[in-house]
Amino acid sequence: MSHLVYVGGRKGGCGKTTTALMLCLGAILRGQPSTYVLTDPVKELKPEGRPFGVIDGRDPASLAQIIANNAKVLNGWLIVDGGGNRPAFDAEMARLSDLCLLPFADDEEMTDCVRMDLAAIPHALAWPVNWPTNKMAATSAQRHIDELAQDFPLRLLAPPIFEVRSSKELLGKSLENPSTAVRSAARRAFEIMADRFDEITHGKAPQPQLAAVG
Amino acid sequence: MKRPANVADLTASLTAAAQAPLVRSAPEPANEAQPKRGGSKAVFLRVPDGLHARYEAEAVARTKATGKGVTVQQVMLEKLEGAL
Repeated sequence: MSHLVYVGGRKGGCGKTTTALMLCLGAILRGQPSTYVLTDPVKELKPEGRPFGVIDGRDPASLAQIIANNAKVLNGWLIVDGGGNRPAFDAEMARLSDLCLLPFADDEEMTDCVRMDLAAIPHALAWPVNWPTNKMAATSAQRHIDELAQDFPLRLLAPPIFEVRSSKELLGKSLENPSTAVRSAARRAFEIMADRFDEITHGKAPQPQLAAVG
Repeated sequence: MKRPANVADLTASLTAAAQAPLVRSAPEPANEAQPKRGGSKAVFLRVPDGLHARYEAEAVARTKATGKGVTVQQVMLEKLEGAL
């Protein structure tokens, strides 16, 4: 059975899709098969040029079949991308997943939303994404992490995914040749997630291998 | 992670979760809380001065006789009821 990771959160635009796609790319770059599952009914399926599997889970019946079929897959990662404004769906998918991630960026509104999600989904982990690298901005943004860490100890995935301007490539129509910056960010994001997955599942997660691509 | 027994269960749970309202609608207020208005309707009547003066005279007379305030409207309603 491949590892089922759900990337959710009620706040739209917080980085769910970018994070999910980055994890899929990172897995492939580390030589592990991965599949991206779209569940947001208002988004378009973009399989073109992706080096990982892209499947449509927008219909609940299809999504159920995908999750059921996942039990027959022997390795790899099934990364399910949630949609905004569906807290009940997030809670149900978190229940069905091995790991639930809640990306959030460095602003007050996103922190408030992730706080609500952390309270609603007891085993989910908040992950700072698109995090500033500028020293002044990073110092200011650290306040959000500190406050969440204080209110929800051990519920933050660290270190953050730092902002990469070219990460918008991931959302493009096609992903034929990702830039070096995006590849590096994807590899790093996947390693952070896989390490934590490993800790959570007591060493059952596959170890990162040598890069197969890039 | 807990997985349902079969695809049908999984479909049902995911469908219900996907269709769950974002904010639950507030319950309807209880009928007892609403003030009862006695099933009346407000109408506007343009009464000729002469007719109004007659009702007014009767209202004044009854007010003096009973010691309680009797309005022109009360007098008119009683006359209307009696006319049916």
